[in-house]
Amino acid sequence: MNRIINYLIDTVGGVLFYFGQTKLRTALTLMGITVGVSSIIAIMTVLETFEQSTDAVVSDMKTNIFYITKDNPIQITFGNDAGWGKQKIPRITWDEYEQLKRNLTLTTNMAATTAEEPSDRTISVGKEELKSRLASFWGSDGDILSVSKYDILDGRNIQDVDIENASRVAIVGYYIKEQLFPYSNPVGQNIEIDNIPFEIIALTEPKGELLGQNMDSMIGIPISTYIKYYGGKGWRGRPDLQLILEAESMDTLQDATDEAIGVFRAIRKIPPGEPNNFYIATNDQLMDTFGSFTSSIKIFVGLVAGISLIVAGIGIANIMLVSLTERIKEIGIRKALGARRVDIFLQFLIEAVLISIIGGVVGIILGLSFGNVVATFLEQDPVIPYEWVLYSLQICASMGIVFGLYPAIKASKLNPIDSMRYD
Amino acid sequence: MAKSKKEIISIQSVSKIYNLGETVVKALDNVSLSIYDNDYISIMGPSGSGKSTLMNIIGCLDVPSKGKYKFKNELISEMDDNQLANIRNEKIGFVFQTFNLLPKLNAMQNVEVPLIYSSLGRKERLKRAEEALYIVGLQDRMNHKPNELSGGQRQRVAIARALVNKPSIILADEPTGNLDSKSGNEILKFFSKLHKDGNTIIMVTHEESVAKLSKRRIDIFDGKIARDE
Repeated sequence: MNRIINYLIDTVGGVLFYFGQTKLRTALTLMGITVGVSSIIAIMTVLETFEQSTDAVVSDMKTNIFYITKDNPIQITFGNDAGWGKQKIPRITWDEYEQLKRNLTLTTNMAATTAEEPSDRTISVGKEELKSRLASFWGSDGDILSVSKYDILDGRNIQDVDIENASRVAIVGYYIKEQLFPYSNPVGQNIEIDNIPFEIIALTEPKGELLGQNMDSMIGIPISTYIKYYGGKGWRGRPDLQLILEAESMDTLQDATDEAIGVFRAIRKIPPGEPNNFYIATNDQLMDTFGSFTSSIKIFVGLVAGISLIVAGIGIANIMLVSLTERIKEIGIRKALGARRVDIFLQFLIEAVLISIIGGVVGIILGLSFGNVVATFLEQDPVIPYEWVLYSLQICASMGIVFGLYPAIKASKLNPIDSMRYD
Repeated sequence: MAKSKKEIISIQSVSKIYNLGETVVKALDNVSLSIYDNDYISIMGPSGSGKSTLMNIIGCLDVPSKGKYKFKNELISEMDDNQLANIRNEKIGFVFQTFNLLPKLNAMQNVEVPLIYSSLGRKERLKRAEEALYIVGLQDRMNHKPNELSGGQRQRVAIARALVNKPSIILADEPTGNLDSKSGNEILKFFSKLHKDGNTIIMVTHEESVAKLSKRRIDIFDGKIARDE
């Protein structure tokens, strides 16, 4: 044991000294490992911040919600998995929504929305203008507040009569009050959206931030009003609707989605055997898809990093062999002075492990910094993926052992007489 | 010679044969030799005579092809690599013609090397390395690297390294070969002092003047002992 501690001290000192002597070569060798490890750590840090915030989303989302949309709500699929060309997918119309509303029995709440997130519209009260960009501007009908978990602090919800008349009434988030009505109750006052005046009918309770988005920087108006005044802008013609539906509970969610699919197919007169020409997804499915997306990224990163680490490992083996030929004389002297095979073997192995661990630690530091810079940029809280830091160190140590093995065995077998004469 | 002394090394009918494909070279041919405590021996011979081979065998760097080699009653000729390494570490102090110091380490660290392989703790190692450097008079050069020392000083570091594990024999291979005559003489004086202090010294040399200082002289020729007196 004492002997092993001796080599450790001896070797660590020796390796550090040796690095100092061959800075460039060592730096290049380390770079391979550093790049591999830092890319793993950076990606894992970013993914971890995402997972953290999606956890927050999950806890904020109702699990008994599902959506019917024209486009795949999950934009992160690889390739086009739809069985039909994009042009043929019809928009979801108000008429379809009304029919659906009449026929569904297992759905308790239902809303049709069209939304801009974020929105570049100018929001003003008199001469006062909202300085920051509006996070979300939507048109919808009455159930929207319930399905998206907004509570009214003061005022009233959008009612059918508002939809029918396309009234210029608006629900505002708490941030709008703080910015534009700091000292008064906004309900009953006027607000202008792109210079069109609206009467504020409700103020919602503060919700805070989610995924870096200020949930209170929000204005909602009746969907008919939205289509009448803003629908033409950005979209050609009428915008398509997103339907948000709420089942009574998790237990009835499956039945409710089945019913909605059946009814919607009937409304669109899709013959049996044909695929749906719309998307239906539950919050759970959205989360699952996100999960499988992150895990496929992880596998991909793992593969790439694995390849780069193997290349780096070959670099280590190479450098150890070079260092071996440079130090044949040293090995001969050490053996003459009483070093056994295992002593030389361990000296070389420890050196290889040390090189790869130093490379790994540098990689971890770089990866954490880079990942957290990205996370900060995406307005996420900084994290350290401890698990992956630990894995990386283990991978580096085992790489040092695997790729240091051959040079170490070779060194340990040198004959002291010939080695001492080597120049 | 003082035959009443304790025998340290007993070499009985030792041969070393190298098989170089077609030809067979007998580097040592049936050599027998005893070395006693506090001997001061010089081994002489022209190059190719087999003196280096004998020296390697005495130093446990190599094992004989035939015959028995006993070191303090331990049968060296039957030992494996690791056992030989332990014997070299504990019983033999080497001094080489080219010093063979490790260039990256300072004097102190060089002297410490054999102690590392004796599993000594750091404190004890430092203490003994310091003592050894004190004996060779280099206590004020401990932190110097070999390239910051003169040839004579380097050889003294090497001697300190040979002494540090309190070996049974000191084996010196042309210790003055790479030194100017002044530093060479200093080193030889130092060997005489070590001998007086009770150490056993075996020195390989080809210089008559160096051999004269020893108390016993062995000449090797064609793998055989030509003279031993």
